[in-house]
Amino acid sequence: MDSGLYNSLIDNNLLIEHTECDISITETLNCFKVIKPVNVPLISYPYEWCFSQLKDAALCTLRVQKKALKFNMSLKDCSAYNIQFFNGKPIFIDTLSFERYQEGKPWIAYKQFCQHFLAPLSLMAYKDVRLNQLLKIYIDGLPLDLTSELLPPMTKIKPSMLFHIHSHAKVQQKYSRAISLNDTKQVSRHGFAGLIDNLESSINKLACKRTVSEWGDYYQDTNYSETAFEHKKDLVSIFISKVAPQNVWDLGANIGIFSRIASDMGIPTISFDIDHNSVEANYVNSINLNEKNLLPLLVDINNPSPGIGWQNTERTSLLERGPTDLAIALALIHHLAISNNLPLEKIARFFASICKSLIIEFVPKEDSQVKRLLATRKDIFPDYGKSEFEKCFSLYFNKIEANSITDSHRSIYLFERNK
Amino acid sequence: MQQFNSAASLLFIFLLIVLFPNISYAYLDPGTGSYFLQIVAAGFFACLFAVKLYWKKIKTFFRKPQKR
Repeated sequence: MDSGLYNSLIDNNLLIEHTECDISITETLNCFKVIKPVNVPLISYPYEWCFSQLKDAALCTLRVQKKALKFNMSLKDCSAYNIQFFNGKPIFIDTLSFERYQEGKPWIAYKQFCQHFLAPLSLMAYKDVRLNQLLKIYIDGLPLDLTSELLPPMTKIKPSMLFHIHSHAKVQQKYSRAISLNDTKQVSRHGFAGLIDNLESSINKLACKRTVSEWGDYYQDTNYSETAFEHKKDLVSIFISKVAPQNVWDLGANIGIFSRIASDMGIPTISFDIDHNSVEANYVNSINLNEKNLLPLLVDINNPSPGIGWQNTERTSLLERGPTDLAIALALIHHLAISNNLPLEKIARFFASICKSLIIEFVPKEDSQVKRLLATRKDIFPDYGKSEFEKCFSLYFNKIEANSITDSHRSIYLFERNK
Repeated sequence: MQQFNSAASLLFIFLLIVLFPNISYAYLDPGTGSYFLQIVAAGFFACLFAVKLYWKKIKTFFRKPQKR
């Protein structure tokens, strides 16, 4: 604090602010200080981030480290969990991660930085964008030897990959006890700064491997006429205003067209989607527009993030981070009921567990998109229809309002959870 | 007897050093391999960084004679 580093980081929006609390509020043993950081509305984890979010998180970490070095301090760890998204941008939250820089000593956090950031980013750039999901299994970042094996051979001719990943992986195995940690004067300040600078250049050069997905150009392929689309937007807008929620979860949000109706009203909104291209496009757009109330996240509603780590509680499951005031589920229900074979009652129960109010679009069998889903499989859904939908949802919700969308077979409902 | 005692204590200390790793006050395990890599490349990164910082100065230094 005294060095000036804290103020410098706050001024540049790189560190979460905190206030000091009265030490008597803690009932536990000896402690030096009690600090209370500003609350981050929704916690998200690296395996829920798209490529650019993870890249920005890496660059934020390096910026913090560069600044720290100017004040003679250094980060003692570089976990991706030290970053959260706050007001639309990545911010460093581990206020206790700083230690005094001792000139000559190598950077203790170098391996962790490579495992948490460089490894998953390089796999997403050179192999497959879906490999970030490995972060769910490897809670302390991806093992470098595994990353080295998975990366295509051509990465061995790229100097940054060759050094920070491939060679780094090899030396992990070879040198286990060769170095005494007490030796000083091994890595000069300039060498240290050069290493950080090289990591920053390496990360900057990485670009996401673009994949072709069915969801990338979704809005070119929908069955809405212009009138229907505008009517749907109006209805959603009216319903959101009626609920006046403190926060919103938009499930199956694609590139966030409807999420922005809520976030533009100043309501903190999370845009969830299973498709990486959509989340990536949504996030890049939100950065370009400097949006503060929107956070796109990569989540499969059929298989949401579980609790992982020690006792499965170190990183909480997605559902435990709710419930939200308002959930929006547009053009989603047929994917849950038909593609994922879920009974309507189970779907209703799920929504009741994650939100207090719900805006949901019912997509009947007459709709062309449902016909598409049923075109290649047997119709084993005799009950799937409007009356069954209303019956199942009435078990958990009160219907506030329902409207048919002009020029469409679909209807939009506003529900409030039963008390 | 005294010789036996001093030999025994020497053996004990030897075993202590060999069997138990160096005490480390590090917050996390950096992996000594990672330290080795940094030591090996520190000089190279320092040069690279210096060139990058002074690149503009180097450019103008080489351009001036040509302009005359």
